[in-house]
Amino acid sequence: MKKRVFKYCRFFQVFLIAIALMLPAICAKAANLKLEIYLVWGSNEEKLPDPKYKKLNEDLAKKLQKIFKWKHYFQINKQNAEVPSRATKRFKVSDKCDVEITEMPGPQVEVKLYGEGKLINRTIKALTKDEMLTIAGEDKNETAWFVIIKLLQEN
Amino acid sequence: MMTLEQQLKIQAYVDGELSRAEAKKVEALIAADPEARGLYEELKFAATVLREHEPEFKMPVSQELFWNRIYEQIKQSEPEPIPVLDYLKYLVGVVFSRKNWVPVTATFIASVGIFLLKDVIKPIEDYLVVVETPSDEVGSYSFRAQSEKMFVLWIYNKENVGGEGATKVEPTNIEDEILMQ
Repeated sequence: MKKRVFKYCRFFQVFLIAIALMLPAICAKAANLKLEIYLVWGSNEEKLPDPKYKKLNEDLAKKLQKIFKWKHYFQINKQNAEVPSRATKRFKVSDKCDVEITEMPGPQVEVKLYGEGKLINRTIKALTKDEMLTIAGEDKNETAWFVIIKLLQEN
Repeated sequence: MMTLEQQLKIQAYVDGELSRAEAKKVEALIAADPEARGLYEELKFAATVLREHEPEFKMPVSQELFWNRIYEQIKQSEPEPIPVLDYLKYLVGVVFSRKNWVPVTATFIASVGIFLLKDVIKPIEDYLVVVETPSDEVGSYSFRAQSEKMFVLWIYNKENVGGEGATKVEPTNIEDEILMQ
């Protein structure tokens, strides 16, 4: 009886051993997120709309120029943020605008954008180092605002 | 006239107690002698009647015996418990046995491959997006700018019928997203 039980389970056992060895690597996906959150202003005028604003770094500005019609991009706010695994954190990007980020299972995050305290948009998507998430909209006088979320590190 | 010995031989033949050689002799006697044939038929009939109509006596089954039987049946159907150490030794034996080198190597290569590729091959969740714009005043659309490695969610004011012309790139990959607006 003993031998029979062993015989029939052989391949299944080998498979189970492999899965057991891989399990820590598979489960190690829950992570704290280190992020950069930018609030950017897009305009066709080169002049800074506010002396407090500064020119956006060249790399990011070039990316935005290739996608959007505006020629100049100004950084209103930039903050380094950290969201613990499976937790929610709210960040103030301007006086009127807040972003709430929740770290979810897998590489996904939930991003809620609030304008003057009111929920404007809720997005759930995978956030990876390879792809930035940009939530944007047009504003008065042919300008636009951009909230850019960039993943720096997962640990 | 048959002798007593012949009669006993026929009786033994009917009961299946004779050797093959003796049985052949008796068969020859039955075929040649009508008296022997008559006795054979009679004995055969008697044996058949006794075999088929003998009352069967059943031993009374005590309760203890009844439960013992059930216990034995359950015990037989259960696999023998295997000591953990024996089992681990067996597993090590299976993994390192020369006979199993093909499946073990294949599993190992597949495991390493999956581990290495899991960050290279993007899982399907990376492509799925849920977008909700609860306000009645604003709408949104989204697209991926693959070359710039950017996912864009454009929010527009519905009154301005908007967003058109804001972007230079065509909204692509919209079909692989779940959009709820």
